[in-house]
Parts: sequence; structure tokens; C-alpha cells
Amino acid sequence: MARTFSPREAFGSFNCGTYRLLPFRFHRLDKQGEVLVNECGEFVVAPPGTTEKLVRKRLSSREEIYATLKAKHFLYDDYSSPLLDVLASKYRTKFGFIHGSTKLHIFVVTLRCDHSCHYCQVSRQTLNKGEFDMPQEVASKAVDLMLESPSPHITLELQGGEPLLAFDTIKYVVSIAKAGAARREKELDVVITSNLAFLTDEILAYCKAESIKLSTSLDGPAFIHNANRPRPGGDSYQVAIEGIKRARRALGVDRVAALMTTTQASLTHPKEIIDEYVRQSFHTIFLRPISPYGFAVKSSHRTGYEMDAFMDFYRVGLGHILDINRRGYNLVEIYTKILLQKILTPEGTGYVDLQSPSGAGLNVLVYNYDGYVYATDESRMLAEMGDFTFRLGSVLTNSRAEIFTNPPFVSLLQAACNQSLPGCSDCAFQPYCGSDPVYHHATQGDMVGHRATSGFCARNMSVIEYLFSLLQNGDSDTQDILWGWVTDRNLAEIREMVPQ
Amino acid sequence: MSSLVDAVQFDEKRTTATICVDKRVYSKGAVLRAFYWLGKDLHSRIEQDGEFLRISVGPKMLVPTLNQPKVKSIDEWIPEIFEALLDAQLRIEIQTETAAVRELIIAKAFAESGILEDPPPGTFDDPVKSSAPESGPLINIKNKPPG
Repeated sequence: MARTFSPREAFGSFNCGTYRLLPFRFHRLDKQGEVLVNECGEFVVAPPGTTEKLVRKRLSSREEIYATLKAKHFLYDDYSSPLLDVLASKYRTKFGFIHGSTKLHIFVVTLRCDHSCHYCQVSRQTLNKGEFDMPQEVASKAVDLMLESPSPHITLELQGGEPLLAFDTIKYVVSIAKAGAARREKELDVVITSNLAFLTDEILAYCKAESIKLSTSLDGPAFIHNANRPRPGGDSYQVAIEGIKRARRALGVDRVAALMTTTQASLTHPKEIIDEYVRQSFHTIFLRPISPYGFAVKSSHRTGYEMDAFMDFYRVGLGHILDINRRGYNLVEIYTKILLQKILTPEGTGYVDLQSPSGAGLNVLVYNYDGYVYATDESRMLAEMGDFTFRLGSVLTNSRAEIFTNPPFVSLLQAACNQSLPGCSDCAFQPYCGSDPVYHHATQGDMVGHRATSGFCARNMSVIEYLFSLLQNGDSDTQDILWGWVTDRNLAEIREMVPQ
Repeated sequence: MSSLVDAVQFDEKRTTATICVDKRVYSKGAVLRAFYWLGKDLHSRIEQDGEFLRISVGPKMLVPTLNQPKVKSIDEWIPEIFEALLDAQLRIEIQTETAAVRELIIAKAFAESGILEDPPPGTFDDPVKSSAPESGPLINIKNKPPG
């Protein structure tokens, strides 16, 4: 077999400035240097001034960083190829989430709910208003539309309001969705998002028989959860905890998930919230900021806060989570995991908020009880507040093709790619971030948005900078834990793999 | 005129500054991009003056508030402004040098989808191989003549 080597001078000689650049962006990290990120999201952290030397062709091939930049596709020279096919393959891999189009389909089966959460993403209705349930005609058309999605794997999420108040509607939707998916040879996952207050043995038996997962809210210990999620009797925490235990017994531990929302009341209690998740034997937690929609806007004095305050909460929380992992309990912070997967692996993400093109509509569709289709759940919240910008059409009158060519979706799509947005187009963190036109429309009145003053941008820039600081300066335990999150291993398993 | 290059002048109260930059050093695009990001904290007005760009700039916040108890003076902003200008200019130079390669990467990445209406600009093959298909820097040892 023929083997090739570069000529002798390629190894012994050094030159300055005879290289050519490949596409990349850069960002100054506070005091630590600069992070250079290429078109495919591969990165190099380099000493301050490296980018200027590199661009101005003052970098010598004898410098150690030269070989690293060459190996990671930041430059090429007379003795190397730009390997465009390799870069193209990596680029395509990053955008794998586009394939198959809409995968997550959210059905709002009722607006009725017994909770009156301050931040609720729905303008809830009282328990007895049956006119706010999804009629069968709407359900049938919505299921047809869902199954027209090219994706071979579809997730059907049933939510409300409180969806268990419309259990008959759930049963109807699931039955026709399963039959339709089988006919079209599609895989179908079903999730019910519920506060668990109306969980009965009959419902649990049904969920078990139909392999349905349950997702619920757990905002922290009782004093936070009850404050955020008022209901008659003031016992929403007790109801949620009992529901989680019953559901786990009936369905299995891995079939029940919980999500928390960070309100102003949460900000000073990151450790208590995280400890509650450990106490309830959860192994994942998602430190989510509040969405600026629905009642979160109407009651901003109770829920709103500055993004700086959220970042303090996140940093303290992540530090506490890392300590918990060091002590041997595996607990994954989901937002960190998603970002690390984007930073450290060739893959993209299924998480809609961090997709570009934005996942709104492309990867998620919301079917409201009345038949109207929205690009995201947040879009539906805006509609409840009288802003119908992201109402894409109706299952009763529009085909899938019409929904994706109607003016609302076309407008959304024009602001959906961070690759072409002002502020984002030359941001080093672009491959890790999203565009979120719905957020920017809601907070700045413009889908493109002004990134310099955007809360979305402030949060993601801060989190990503912080993660780079951990990846560079974190102790070996921290790095092992973070790598374990990316590869779905706990700290003990990572330690077994990597000699200490 | 050359004395105005990178010159910074302050008003009497030292609340605003006027910065004059040579367009051969910092392009108009770089200045606009830099002040886009600085727009969170600084107001600015950019004017063209022959071969120079004249930027009047001042902090949006002049007095401390409960939310922002520390306020930076315009003097303190000057190093950050020039750092932002340098970064923006470097970004433009990177984009200028790599634009064709970037388009090729993206075109190749999605070529199988058949969405390209027109062929992308530049050479679709590997540029090194295309520029010297016969005499590339790699030597095939098997075919190397003895001696």
C-alpha cells in the first residue's frame, strides 16, 4: 500500500504568514485569552492576541498553537489541504436536526386548570368551562396534520391548562394518533404534561397500557412551589409530590420527569431547589429562566427579574450541582448538557430554543384547543394576550403546505437563522446558540431583535463564557462530570475510563 | 489631517468624546459593528469626514441607580471602544478572506438536498488540489525514484 509523507522541509522549516485562513469567529474570554470557533463549532482557546497575529499573518509555523489551529481547521498552508469535504460533512452533521422537519407536536387539549400560577403560559380558565376543551373534529384534523410531518419519529405532547381535566379528549387523541402513526409506519412517543392534581388509578393504568410518559412541574421545596403555583387549599407541592410517587410506582421511575421555572422567589434559593430534586430522587434538573409571556408579563412584579440575577442563580446552582455529583449522586443540569453537547460534540440539538434555523414551526408545532396552530407554546401565549403574530393557520381550514407558506411563517423564517442576523452573524458562539424570533418579538417588538440588549443573548453569552471557563480552568472532577453529562455517564464511570 | 488619526477629544464636562478613526485602519463596517454592541451602554453618532470617520460617543447612564450602582465614565470606556473596533475590524478581515471557502463548505454540506439553484462561486474541488493537481506537496514514496 502506497504511503505518502510531506517532504523533509515541511517538518524542519518554519515560515510566517504563508498560510491561508479558514472561516472562523472569535470571542475574548475575560483574562483567560480568546476562544476561536470554526464554522463547525470546533474551538481553540488561545492566549490573548492570537487572533490578531493569525489574521495579520504574523503567526509562525514554529509556534505550538499553529499546529493546533491547523489540525482544527482554522488555517491551511502549502503542506495541508483545507479538507472542505470534511468540513462540509461536519457542518451537515451540526444541522442534522433539520432533517425530517417537525418532530414535537403539542396539543392543548383544554385551557381549564385548577392552578393559578403567576407565570402561567396560558390564560387559564375555570374548571367548568367545557367550551375550552378541544372538540373531536379539531383533534382529528390536528392529528392528521401532525402525521403529515415528514419526520419518521414524532413526539405528541398533551398539555393544557391541566390536560387530565380533559381525559376523554386525551384518550381520543391518543387512539387516533397511534392508529394513524401505525398506518404511516411512524414511531410515536406520547407525553402528558400535568400538575398531577387529578391523577387517578384509572389514568395511571391507561398511561401504563399506552406507554405514556408523564411530565410535571416541581419548582422547589414547598415554600417556593406553593408560592409559585397557588391552588385551592394551597397544597400544590403536596399534590405534586404525591403524584410523582404514585406515577413512579405505576409507570416506573424513568417514565416521570419534572421541570422547574425560576421566578423571583426562586432566585435566592438555588441550593434549596436543587436539594429538593435530589430529595425526590431526580437525576436531572433544568435551571430555566421564566418566559416573558402570559401571566409572567401581567404579574412581572412577582415573577420578573433581570438576566444578571438569573445568571447569579445559575452559577451558584451549577456549582452546587457539581458538588452533589462529586459526592457521588448523579445529577445533570439539562441546559448545561445541551450547550456542552453543542460545544464538545459534532451534533446539533433537538432543543428548539437553541436551534438555528429556529425550531419554531420547523421542529415544533402547537395545536390549540380551538384548532389554531402556533409556531411555539410561547406564540400561543402571545395570542392569549392578543398578539396573533405567530398564529400560522388553523387545522380546520389550512393544509400543512399552507401553514408553512402563510405570511406569518415566512416572516418568522426571515429572522430564524442566526447566521444572518445582525450581532449574531459574527458572534463566536453562533454555532452553539439559536435565534429565537418569538422571544425577540415578545421582548423587543422585533423578530430580529437588538442582540446587544437582548436577554436571550445576555443569558446565552454568559452561560457559554462560563462553560468555557469551567472547561479551561475547572478541576479534573469538574471536567469529568461535564464530560460525563455529554456522554451519559456518571462520575464513577468516567473515572473508570480515564486513569487518574 | 494625519494628526486626527485615532484622536480622541472630550467635551468640557467630560461626558462625551469624539473619536476620529482612519477608514484605512477601521472600515465603516467595523465601526458600525463595534458600536452596535457598545450600544447597550453607549449612545453614538457616526459621521463621515473624508478619509476619516468621526464618532461622537457618550455613556447612556450618567448617574448611578439602584439597578446599576456603578457608572463608567467616558474615559474608562475608551480602551474598551478601541478593543471593540479592533475586534470588529479583524472579524471583517476574516470574513473577507474566507467568504468563498465558507460558501463552498455550506454548498457542499447541503449539495445532496438539491436545493442549489446556481453553482456556488469558486472552485468546488479542494483548492490546493485544483491549483496544483500534478505537483502537490505530497510525495508518493512508492513512486519515488531510487537514489
